[in-house]
Amino acid sequence: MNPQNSRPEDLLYRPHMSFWWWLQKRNYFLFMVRELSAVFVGLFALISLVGVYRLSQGEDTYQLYLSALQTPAARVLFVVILLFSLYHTLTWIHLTPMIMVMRIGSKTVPPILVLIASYLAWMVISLILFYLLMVD
Amino acid sequence: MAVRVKTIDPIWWGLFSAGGTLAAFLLPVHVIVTGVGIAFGWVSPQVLSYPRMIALLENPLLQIYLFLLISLPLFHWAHRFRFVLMDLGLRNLKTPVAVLCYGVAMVGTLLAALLLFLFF
Repeated sequence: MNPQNSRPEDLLYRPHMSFWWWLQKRNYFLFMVRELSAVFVGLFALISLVGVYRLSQGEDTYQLYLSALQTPAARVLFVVILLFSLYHTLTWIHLTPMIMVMRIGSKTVPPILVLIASYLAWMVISLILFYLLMVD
Repeated sequence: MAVRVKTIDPIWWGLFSAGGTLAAFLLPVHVIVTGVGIAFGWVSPQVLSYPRMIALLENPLLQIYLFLLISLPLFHWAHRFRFVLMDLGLRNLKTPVAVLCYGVAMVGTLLAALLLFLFF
């Protein structure tokens, strides 16, 4: 490498990392699980997008989509999506008090209160949505 | 964790954060009802039936809701997956990885907008 032609970032020291570095420590592994939860969160958005597309194609096509949602493969997929989705929710709620320091006047709201409020909000929102989804 | 980027693009981070918050609070109940529930037969597929969905999507507020429910988690995915790929060794492909990830999210967002706002 010729330093004169290099951008500054090319000169940074970069330790060689194995592809499997995230299996070396429990915390690395949990970090990777947390980051990969986004894959399943995105997958659910994609499945919903397919649903909207199928809906636009008419009732017969949409019926095929609804049938596909009830296959054994869909069962496995949605259980996996649910597990990662819950893990995303837990990690996201626990990170919020660290990132957002809430202040009222000159006093800092204790992080534990932010945490409890987040859990309560999640439960209330979920119950309301559950009702709206299930009841006509 | 390695030093990731020198300048964080606030737009991508904002979308990531909005998508993460939306997914954290809204997604599990959607997955339970319309995903796991329908797949295992605990919830009637009538919840997602054609007439019901068509009727619901006549409401512009529900169009916007479903649009956000699709678009923001896609941007959340894009931002996280971008750094997963770089952490797994694609650090030399920074630009193509970013274009691919945010590109998928943008295409998904565009499709969702066209379908939801123009068709229904």
